[in-house]
Amino acid sequence: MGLFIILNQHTSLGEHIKVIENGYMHSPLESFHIAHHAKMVPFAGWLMPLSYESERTEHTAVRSKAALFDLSHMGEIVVEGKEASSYLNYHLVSDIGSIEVGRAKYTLCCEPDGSVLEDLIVYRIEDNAYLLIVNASNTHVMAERFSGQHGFDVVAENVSQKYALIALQGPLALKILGTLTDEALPDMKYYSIVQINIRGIQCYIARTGYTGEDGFEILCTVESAETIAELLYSPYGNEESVMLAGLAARDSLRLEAGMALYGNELSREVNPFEAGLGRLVAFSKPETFVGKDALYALKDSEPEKSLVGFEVDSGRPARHGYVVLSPDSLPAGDSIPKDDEDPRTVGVVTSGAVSPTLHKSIGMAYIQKDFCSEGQRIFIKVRDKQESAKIVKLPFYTRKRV
Amino acid sequence: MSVPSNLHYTKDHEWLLPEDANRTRVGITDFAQKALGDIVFVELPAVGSDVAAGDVIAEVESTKSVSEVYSPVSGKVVEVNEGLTAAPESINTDPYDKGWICVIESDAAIDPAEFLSPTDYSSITQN
Repeated sequence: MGLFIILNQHTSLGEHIKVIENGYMHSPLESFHIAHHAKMVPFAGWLMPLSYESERTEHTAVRSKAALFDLSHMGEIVVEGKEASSYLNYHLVSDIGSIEVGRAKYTLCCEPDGSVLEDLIVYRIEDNAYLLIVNASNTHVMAERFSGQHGFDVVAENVSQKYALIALQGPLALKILGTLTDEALPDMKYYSIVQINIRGIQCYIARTGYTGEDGFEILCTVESAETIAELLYSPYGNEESVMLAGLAARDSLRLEAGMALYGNELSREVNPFEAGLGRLVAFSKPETFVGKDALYALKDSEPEKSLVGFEVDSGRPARHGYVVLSPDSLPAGDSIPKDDEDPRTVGVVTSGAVSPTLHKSIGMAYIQKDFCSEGQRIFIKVRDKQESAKIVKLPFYTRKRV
Repeated sequence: MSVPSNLHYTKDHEWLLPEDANRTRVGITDFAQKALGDIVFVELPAVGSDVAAGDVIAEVESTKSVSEVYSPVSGKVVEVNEGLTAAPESINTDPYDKGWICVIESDAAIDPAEFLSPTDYSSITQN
């Protein structure tokens, strides 16, 4: 057999940053990963674990038990001050001031033209202090965005180099984490955050994630990261064993859950309405915000293109960048035109994979408005073939809530 | 890495199992499946199609790559492993048994001298 395509592993993960050989940033857990046979790959300037053994096994572990992810590449920005709420209301599209202390919100940062600069989670850790978790690829973009005070009484600090972020995701995550905290873990709602010690180590624990499963994200200092990881990780063999999972499993998990990835579903090329995230934009909040006028003009009209889910009939994966075609058949005998010459082009795949949970080829794509309704047939161009597919509702997977 | 002693091999990491009546069962090796990683899709040849040695008979997609499988012999495809449609991961878990790809019927029995022995195949995978 001959290998004829090696797909760019980073593309499916939404990253396009090239780094020189010795120019990577290193996770505080790098030696932990290497000791556990991780396949390390460059990701947004970092060297991070793609997988340890089998991506499929790691994925399944999150759906059925629990797995640990190193998210130390993600950026952390702390915004503090008397006017922190107003300042964030100016920069972000949601009503940040309405978040209760100890709660979190998924939101967007837009440009004046309404395009999406970043998606992020904002945690209100004190009345006048917020923790922002941003994408690794956008940490500098967001640090730059928050570098000016714009007249607000506020201080924003990029603390990404000081903190590690470790996720424990899966139905057993609560039980496992509960055995490790110094005090009993309070009854935490989804999207809440507490400060609590794990075996004497100060941590923030948030009930958030990017897998569609119950789980937690644990923020600790880089110095304590390895101790925390070792405590959470237990090798196979008992019912509560935790697996290690890499970026590949994280990508397939979030895809099943219909969650957007910056660089794939979100970019400067799209606005929140096209991305299906219009509900995050709070036009009614008292402060004006960056992008408000542009977004207001868009809010009542049907977007020209929309992010939708699809399933490929044959089960063949349809990957990032593949072209979506209308269901029109070609005149008999015609060969399939090249990507940029096919007049049937109506969209492009943003993410796609064979779902380890559903055993189907699933994906998300931006498609022109006339071809977005559920059940609509489309073709997806996969190399020299066109694969039949249909539009389906997002998300592909929803966990059973107990 | 497993290299069963009853099979013949190609340098392109296919295995062959001669069966009765000039039939040859074909698959990819343990070494190949490990290199590819988690296999998520297999395109099988049509039963009844004529193939020449070296023709592409299948496409194997993993989470990160797409590979062609070449026919090691000339003949007619008489059976394909339909089980791979629902469970392509059989190639990962059981490359020499449940993960077989197809059976090709030729005019004559294969000549083992045209293929790599288990020992020779093992040595090329170690380089």
